Amino acid sequence: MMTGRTAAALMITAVSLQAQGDTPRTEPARASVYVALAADQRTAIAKDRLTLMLDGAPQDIVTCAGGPHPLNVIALLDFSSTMHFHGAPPGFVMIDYGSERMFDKLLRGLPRIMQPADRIRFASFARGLVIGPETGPDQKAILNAFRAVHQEGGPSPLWDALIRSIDTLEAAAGRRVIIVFTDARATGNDHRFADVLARLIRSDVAVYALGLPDSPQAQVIAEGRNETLRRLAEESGGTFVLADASRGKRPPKLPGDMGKWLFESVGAIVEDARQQSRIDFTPAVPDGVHTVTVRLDGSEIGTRTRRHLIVQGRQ
Amino acid sequence: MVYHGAMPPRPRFHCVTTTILISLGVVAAQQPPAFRSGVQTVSIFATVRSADGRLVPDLTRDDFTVLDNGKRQEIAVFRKDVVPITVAMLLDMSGSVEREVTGVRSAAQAFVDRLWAGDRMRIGTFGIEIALSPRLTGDHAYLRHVLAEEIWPGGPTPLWQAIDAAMTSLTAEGGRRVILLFTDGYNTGSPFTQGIPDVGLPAIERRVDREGFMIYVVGLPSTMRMGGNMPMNAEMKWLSVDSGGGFYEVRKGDDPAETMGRIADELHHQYSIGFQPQILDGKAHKIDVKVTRPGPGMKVRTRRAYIASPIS
Repeated sequence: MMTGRTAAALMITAVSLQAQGDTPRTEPARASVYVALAADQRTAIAKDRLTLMLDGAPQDIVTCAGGPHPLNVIALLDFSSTMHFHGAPPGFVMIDYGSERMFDKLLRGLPRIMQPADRIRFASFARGLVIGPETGPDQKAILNAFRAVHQEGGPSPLWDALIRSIDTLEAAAGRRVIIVFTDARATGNDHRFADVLARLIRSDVAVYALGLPDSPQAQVIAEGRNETLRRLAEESGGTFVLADASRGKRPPKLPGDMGKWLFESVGAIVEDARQQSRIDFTPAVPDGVHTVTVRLDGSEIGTRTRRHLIVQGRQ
Repeated sequence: MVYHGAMPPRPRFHCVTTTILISLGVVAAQQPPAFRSGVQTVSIFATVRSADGRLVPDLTRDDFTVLDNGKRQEIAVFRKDVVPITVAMLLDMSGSVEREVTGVRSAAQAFVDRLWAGDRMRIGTFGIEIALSPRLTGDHAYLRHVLAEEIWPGGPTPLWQAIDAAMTSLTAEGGRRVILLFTDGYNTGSPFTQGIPDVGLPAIERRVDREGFMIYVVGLPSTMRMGGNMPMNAEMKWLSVDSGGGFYEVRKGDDPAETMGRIADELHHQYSIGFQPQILDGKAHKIDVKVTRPGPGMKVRTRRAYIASPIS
């Protein structure tokens, strides 16, 4: 199986070639990145406390705007057959991670955790790949939007769904976020994992992934499954949360537990994305793909941002 | 590896005739581009091996005799050059073969490596899900990625549904259409394949006869059934033999990749034969193909039936 590292190397090469093939221009355009800071550092960070580096070289920061930012979210849900039948833990209690009941608490709680300017779409993949309409924090509209994309099983074109979701968010306003809930057993894809990484680098969408542990009765551990989700989150400045790691105890077993875990996890993600700081800067590097590092008071500890950025905007 | 190619005809044929009479009006026989358009031509792909199992590549049109329900037919089309193949490879991911997944991936990879220019393939899996890669392609890199990224073991064995879905995915394709299966061969169905037609073996047999799919089966040892090594399901053997394909049983110590090489080699050295049936009665007709060249133990494998449907 191809490792995430190998895929990333291939992807960066591909993106570099594409970026360098464009016509060089004269003036560097302004660029921006979002950075997540520790909770006690989120408000009113002076720009001179931050260092933003591309390929290790400090860049000229123009402004730094703390949160809250309005969000534009796609909640991408895996309704493939393996989610509806995610193995049977000891005692043969089958968990249907694709049932509407699993999402009940989340759907009813979303209006409380959304701000008036926030927008959300539901999207899903299984037999089909469906992206629903945008809606605000309205209870009825959220329920209807969810039901419009609910599916009862099929394959798992996860990579195709992520690329379609990134494309959909391309023109959206606000902080662009994909929250994907999946067991990451990707099947039936036209695109590859490396294609998703490459597409992420060309966008400013953050991927937050909610994953599931292997079912206890699996004879063969599905190696690398959740590693792909972790790579996507790390690349884009999001986070990866595995169900059994979320509370430091055994994975949620019952639909009610799982629903609560989902709601709490999405709530944490929304808060994280909303409160990130946006750094605008003038890149002093050649066109191409560059690694991004952000330091607060000289340290990378407590900062999280996207891994790579394409500079391609000399005007 | 045990090859089961030279099996006597089973008594399925009469049953098929009866069944097909009920469900008529279907599809004209498969017509690859080499066959004349506008004329009903029945295409046959023939594998010929010598007594010692080697492929025999140098036969001519005159070395073959084709019988349609016992009556000799004039061979209208004959080719022995390489005709590209169109393959749907199906990998059984059910719990009973879960421990074999590494070997299955390697063997599938070996087949990808042996695709020639012009060949196209898609890869599918069946277990909890039935999934088919959307791209039908000869792009080795893409196919390798599917094998690296989309193989997830576990679940039941919706075998017939998976074969049916694979056939449907090739319906629009011409030429030689091959379903290549890695499986331990026991259908269990699945409660998790919503939206996919719930078919059984008879429906698959009908499609083989009507649409000319070739079925190749690589039989894997089951690790979950009684004794851990039940023999392969006989239904899969018959299905593959009747279609003109082949059945290979992998046993302990065998290298499945070697088996895949053998199948790829065979598919690239088959004879394309066509004849124009004189009676288009909508019924199932029995096909017999014989090699008349003198020599001991020459064995021919082809599809064993077709439906003589008029072109609509």
